[in-house]
Amino acid sequence: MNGEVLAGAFDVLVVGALIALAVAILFLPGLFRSGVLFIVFGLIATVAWVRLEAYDVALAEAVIGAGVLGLLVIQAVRQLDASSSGESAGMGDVGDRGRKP
Amino acid sequence: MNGRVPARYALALPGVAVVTGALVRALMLTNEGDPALGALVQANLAGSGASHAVTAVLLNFRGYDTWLELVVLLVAATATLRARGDRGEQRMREPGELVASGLAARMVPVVLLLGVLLLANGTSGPGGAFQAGAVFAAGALLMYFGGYRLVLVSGGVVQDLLLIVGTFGFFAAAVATTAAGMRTLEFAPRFAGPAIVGIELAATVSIAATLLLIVLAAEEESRASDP
Repeated sequence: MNGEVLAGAFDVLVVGALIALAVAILFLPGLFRSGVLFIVFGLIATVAWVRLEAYDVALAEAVIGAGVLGLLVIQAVRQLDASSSGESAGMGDVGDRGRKP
Repeated sequence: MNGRVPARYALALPGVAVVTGALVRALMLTNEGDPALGALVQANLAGSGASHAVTAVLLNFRGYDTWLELVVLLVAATATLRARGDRGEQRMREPGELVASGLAARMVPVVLLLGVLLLANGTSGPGGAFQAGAVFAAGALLMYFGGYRLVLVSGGVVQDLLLIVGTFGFFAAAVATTAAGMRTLEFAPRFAGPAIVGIELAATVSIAATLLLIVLAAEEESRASDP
């Protein structure tokens, strides 16, 4: 198969995954799920940067976009979860395992 | 709060469609990038102190912009320190979680090496201060989550110094170049290499310290609200 066609198909897959992940992050219930998907989104975005031949940005996206930002999002979810008054919240998806500090 | 999006958010969809359409159209109208700029960078690469075009642009040709990025990070760090309040030294986690501490013990040396590699490679290839700084912060966080004590970098005067040194590095370069009669931040080819390395080192330290501070402060908050 032609290399360019393969590359093009791969790019379509990556863009499709980014859009699908964005929709999932915004519209799926469960904040913790959204947080995890956000980290996945960062990793797919890293691949997108590599395909654009922006390797420095890809490295930064991997560590900062997926890593540090993902961590901050999960921490925010924990705070929101703790401050909501008993209502079933995002962390309910992982039961008690998610509560271990 | 269950994460469901309220139905009234659908009212924003037409606006989203319009903006998306405009962005796509703008993207279609732009060409592949001004080839003259790329040629200009390549022509001046030799005396710029770096052999990687991105590094040369970030730290030499457009160094002022990078300096302002570091200032932005400093502002974020200051705001975090304010929001965190006067809680004294960062509380560490309890040691003893087997998986976390084992993972930290094994991975942190590799992570630190990776950070050094990214920083060293930055002048001749992909890498540089931001990437290395984030990796070092990640290594420190691995240690934190593994229950190891973070000495020095998690509070007090040393942390303040670490946060400032990146911005100060550029400031020192600006003062030096102006005092030497050049235009501000205009590096003579002889000094460009060492200047870039020095600034990258300082910037890496500050970036790592800032990211570490922000995540640790958020961690304090979320632990305080744990039931």
